Amino acid sequence: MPDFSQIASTYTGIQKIGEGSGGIVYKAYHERLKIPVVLKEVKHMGKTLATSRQEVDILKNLKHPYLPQVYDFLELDGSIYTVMSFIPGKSFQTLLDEGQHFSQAELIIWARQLLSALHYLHTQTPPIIHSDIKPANLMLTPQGNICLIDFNISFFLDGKTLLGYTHGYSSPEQKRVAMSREHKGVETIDVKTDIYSVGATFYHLATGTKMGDAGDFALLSQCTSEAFSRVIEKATSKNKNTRYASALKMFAALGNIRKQDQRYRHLTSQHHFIQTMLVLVMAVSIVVVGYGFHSLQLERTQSYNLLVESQMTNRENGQYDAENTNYLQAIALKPESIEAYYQHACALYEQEKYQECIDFVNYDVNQNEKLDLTNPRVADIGYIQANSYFELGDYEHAITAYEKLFTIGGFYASYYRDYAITLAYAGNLEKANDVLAQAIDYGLTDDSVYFAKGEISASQNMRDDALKNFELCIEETEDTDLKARAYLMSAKLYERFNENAKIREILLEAKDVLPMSSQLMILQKLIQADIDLGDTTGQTSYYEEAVTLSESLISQKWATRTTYNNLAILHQKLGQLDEAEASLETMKDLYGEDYNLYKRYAFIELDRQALKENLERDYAQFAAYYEKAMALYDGNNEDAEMALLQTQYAQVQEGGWLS
Amino acid sequence: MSLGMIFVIIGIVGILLSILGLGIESALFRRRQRRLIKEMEDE
Repeated sequence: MPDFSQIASTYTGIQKIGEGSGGIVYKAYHERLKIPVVLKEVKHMGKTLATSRQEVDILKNLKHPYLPQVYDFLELDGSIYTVMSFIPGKSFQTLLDEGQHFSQAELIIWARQLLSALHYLHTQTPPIIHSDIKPANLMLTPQGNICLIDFNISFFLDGKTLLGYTHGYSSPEQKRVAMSREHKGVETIDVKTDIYSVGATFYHLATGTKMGDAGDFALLSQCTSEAFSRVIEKATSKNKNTRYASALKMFAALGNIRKQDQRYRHLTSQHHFIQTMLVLVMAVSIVVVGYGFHSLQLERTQSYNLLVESQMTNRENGQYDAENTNYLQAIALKPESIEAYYQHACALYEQEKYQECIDFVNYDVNQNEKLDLTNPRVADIGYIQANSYFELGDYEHAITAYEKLFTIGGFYASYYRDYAITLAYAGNLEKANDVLAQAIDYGLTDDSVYFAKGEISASQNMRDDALKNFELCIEETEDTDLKARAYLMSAKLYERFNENAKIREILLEAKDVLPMSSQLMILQKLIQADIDLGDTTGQTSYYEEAVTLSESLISQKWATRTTYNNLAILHQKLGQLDEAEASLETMKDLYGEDYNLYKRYAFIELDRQALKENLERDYAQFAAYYEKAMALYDGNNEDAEMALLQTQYAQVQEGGWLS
Repeated sequence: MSLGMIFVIIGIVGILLSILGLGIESALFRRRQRRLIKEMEDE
């Protein structure tokens, strides 16, 4: 035993506990660290002290849970000692000698612990190769973990220095190098020599017998499993190129060992098959949902188109209540589509509800967040709004509306034409002519040019010039709407100059020329013209013609409340009081009650009583109609006929006709 | 009920069933896997 007296102040209770391949091993107590340590003699095998110190310095820096911690380096009496942590427990060699057997699960856990320690060593710079892995150098700690000890022959820094080999555990190449030490440089060893030793060690642990030169892997399969046996067989391949390339790869192979089992593979393949089927079902379902939504979208679009078509038909037929219903249904179905809004704006305009049309465009269209206001169709709606402003005589707003629609994209020559007309009515004749020239540049046809010129002349009260241009337009155009507008404008011009007979004449011509579908406004104006002529001339033939025209409107389903009201007035004027009352009854059924209805009833009742002898007269019914009319009349709407009715009621009362 | 709505309902039912199926299959697989690993360890 060497003289330890020079280190007695630091190490106490030094006692020999064994002798390994590297040298004698002593156990001692480190007084400063207060832990038991091991002093292990290092055989220098011709190495210099400096080389040995360098090697120990490297080991001191190693820290891994499955490696002992090297604390120090000592030189005593010419021998070198490493001081490292004392590992309690037994070596696997001792356990094998005691006849212990290990399960595959235990072996896998320990093998993976050992491989993680080896991976740590092999990835140092330079790589540290243990090169003496065997059951005797593997400790099993009381915690059930392994610890790789004995680094005596692991001092492998230059790829050539090797201190020995252990039969049954060392790789063939390690054996060859060790046996031919004098022929250094012929062959080198690397990390794969440790891989071989791990395989051989665990072969021994699993089977209880050393592997020797060739292992019995059938026996190993019986002791463990085919998968485990395959891993060991690969690790202990004689050809190092077919072994695992690194400790990490063997670590991973052992981690997947269960997955290599036949039953496990069957289970996972079944699982993958079912998973794939279910994912396929999901994919198909997603496609079906997508198709469903697409179909729903198509159905919605079809329903919307049908509603808009019906809305347009009802509008063209003057069925504005039905049109309104279609409009509400259409926007409920597709509030983001513009067409129903356009049709409704047209319907309001055609009903001469100009202010309502303007408000509709301002609030329901321009402030509608669901609509794409850059859609060129919005420009068409803007055109209707501009026309509504025009009809109300609000030319400034009409001009603003036109200018706005041109920013959206309403680049139609007809829009520029009407813009020019509006400018003319607003008094800006110079700009009107410029815009008209621009419209001609955009391709405005001759008929439209005549119409615009007519309107511009009309705005300047140039009667003859305007009538001439409208006449040229009527002759030139094939567009029935434009033709109707030209006739109506001519009539309006005559109206401005109080030429009632001319109004009737031009409207009768329009009635003969235009197709029935374009006659709505012509007929309405013609009826009014007949009433006015009847009133001024006293000729009942005009009233009779107006009755016929009103009936024509009704048969075309174009009749409105005004139509029935006018019809009642006409019958009354013709002395046909029963027919007049029948018209009012129809009006009441179709449009409900209002003060005008009872006012009209009251006037008819007055006429009816006037036809009787004084003694037979009874104004009770007249009074009833009067009271109803007064109850419904709000007074805000100044109605001259109501004032007349009140006067007549007062006269009846004063005459004592009411008891 | 429109054809599109029928497709949407069938598709949604299919998606829900496949999600449910994946859940059940995963749970069953894990149970079988644990049982097999235990069996393999016992061996």
